[in-house]
Amino acid sequence: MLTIEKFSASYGPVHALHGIDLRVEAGEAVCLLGSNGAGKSTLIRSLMGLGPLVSGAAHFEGRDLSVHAVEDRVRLGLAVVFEGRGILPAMSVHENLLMGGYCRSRADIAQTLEQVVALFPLLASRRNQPAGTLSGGEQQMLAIARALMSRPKMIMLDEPSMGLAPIVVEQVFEAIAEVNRRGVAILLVEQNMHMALAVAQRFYVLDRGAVVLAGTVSDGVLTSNTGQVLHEDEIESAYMGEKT
Amino acid sequence: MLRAGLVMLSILAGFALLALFLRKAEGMVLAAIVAGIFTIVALPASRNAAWRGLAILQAHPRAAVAACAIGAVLLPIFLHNDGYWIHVLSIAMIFAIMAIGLNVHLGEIGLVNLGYAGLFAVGAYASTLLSQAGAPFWLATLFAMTVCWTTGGLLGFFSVRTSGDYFALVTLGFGLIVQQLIINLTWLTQGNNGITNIPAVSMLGHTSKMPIDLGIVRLVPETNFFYLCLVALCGSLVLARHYQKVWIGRMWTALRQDAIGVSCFGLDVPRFKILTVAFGSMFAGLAGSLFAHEIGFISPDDFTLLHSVEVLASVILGGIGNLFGVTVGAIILSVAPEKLRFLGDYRLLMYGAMLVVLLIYRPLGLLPDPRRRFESF
Repeated sequence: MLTIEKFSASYGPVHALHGIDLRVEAGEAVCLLGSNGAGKSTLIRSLMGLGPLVSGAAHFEGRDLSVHAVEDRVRLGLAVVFEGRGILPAMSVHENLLMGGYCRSRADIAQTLEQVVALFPLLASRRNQPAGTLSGGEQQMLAIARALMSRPKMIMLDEPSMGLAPIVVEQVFEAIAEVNRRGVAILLVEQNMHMALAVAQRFYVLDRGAVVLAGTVSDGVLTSNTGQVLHEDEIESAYMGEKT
Repeated sequence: MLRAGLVMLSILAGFALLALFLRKAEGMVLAAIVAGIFTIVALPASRNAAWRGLAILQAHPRAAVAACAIGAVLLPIFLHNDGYWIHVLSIAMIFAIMAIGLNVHLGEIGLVNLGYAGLFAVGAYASTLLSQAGAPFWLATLFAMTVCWTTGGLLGFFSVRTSGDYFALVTLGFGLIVQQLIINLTWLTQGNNGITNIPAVSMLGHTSKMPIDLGIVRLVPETNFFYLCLVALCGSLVLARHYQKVWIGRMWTALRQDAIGVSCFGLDVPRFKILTVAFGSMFAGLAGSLFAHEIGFISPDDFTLLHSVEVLASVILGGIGNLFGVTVGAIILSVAPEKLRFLGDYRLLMYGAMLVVLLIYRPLGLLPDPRRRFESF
């Protein structure tokens, strides 16, 4: 569904990504691990058309993304939940959700709204409340729900666990897993490795702008692409910059 | 029902008092009244009482709007047919239309426009030239609005893709360029001499130079424009309010808070901003056309940077984003200099001092926009 080849990006003279190869299949959940400054957020921003792409190619369902502006990428079926949630605090929960469906027809919005609210029932009870008055976890749920409003084929989530209490993180990841079970592909950027690996089917580890490790997860067993069975602490040391 | 009646009566009484104030209050009396109003604004106890009064008004919006409409229509009679004040209020309403337009730029998408008088000039000259060529007033006005819409769109096209501050500079330059063009394109605009003899507005054989004869009373000719401006102002308010309530308004609110997020909902942000700038500029066309025909004479001196700043000041003073506040702010700012004439040379000093004191006590303007409670900017 999403294929990235030799993807490089830089902020002026500072190279953030060098030659990343990555793919996400339809309906799959893939997580991208890495420490601060590894280039995870840059990758998401570049894929959405907001960041600096220097060279390389990204294709979504066979279409070259580089020719599409941000707003067109939404119509292709890409959605993003930004780091720090990015909800609109002055607007009500309901309005926030409506905004997410901007690119859909009116009848479609009403129908999608029903499905999304069924998935996140707590949002229904907060419908007319300004979104800024929600708790951190609720705001994160709202951000995910809003991304679903455009009926995306794939959602990219940037650090959904940031600044949340552990029990709330669990609820958020349960919601992400549920979205994935309904057939939406997920590209999850996380530092909370344990939670991310519980949701994902495959993983990539990013260090200083390059993929240093990639593999699959099934029933908690981690296998690298070279066939090695890995421990979580081995992955951790990979992205902390040590050789495995 | 009883309360609604009381609301209406008190608003009508307010209009009658306003008329009395405009016609009679002078010198020390005026100073005392202004001081009293400032005390209300400054003292917490009296301010709370004023807020309770406003809350009662807000609880009966229909009665309040109806009473305002009736009061405005009756204002020329309250003013005892005083042509001077009717004229001043017409100009104030034209100014309010400009403030409503500028509020779309400044209030809705946060773009500081320092050249709104330039757009106003474009509207005034476009309408005048067409009107002198023999077109009726409504056609000249429509033409002026179209020209301003296009000019605003071009202004937006060349500036909104970069940061918001850039727009302020571009519009500042635009205002100055328009003024220089008016001065130098003498074959079209007659330069510094200005255009005189702008035809009167006529409709069904009645022209704006004739008094309105109602049988019982005979309203002075200035009343024609008073009502014309009133209709235009109401139309502008209704249009701007409508845009705030639909999808476009919701997008404005969202765009102010998070432009990048909005693009991820699938909105083409630059195009949307250009169209918004064009929409806000359209009001300058309406105001310019009314102004040119009301005064009957326009010259480059009517469209200086100071005029742009005055419109900006009235939007900020009235309460950015609140249409009602912006209208009140514009009317106060254009009437106040007339009332302060008794101060002679100290007039502008007092005017400036009033602005400073008001913004110290009400930093968000006289009537802040309730939608912005949770916005931090």
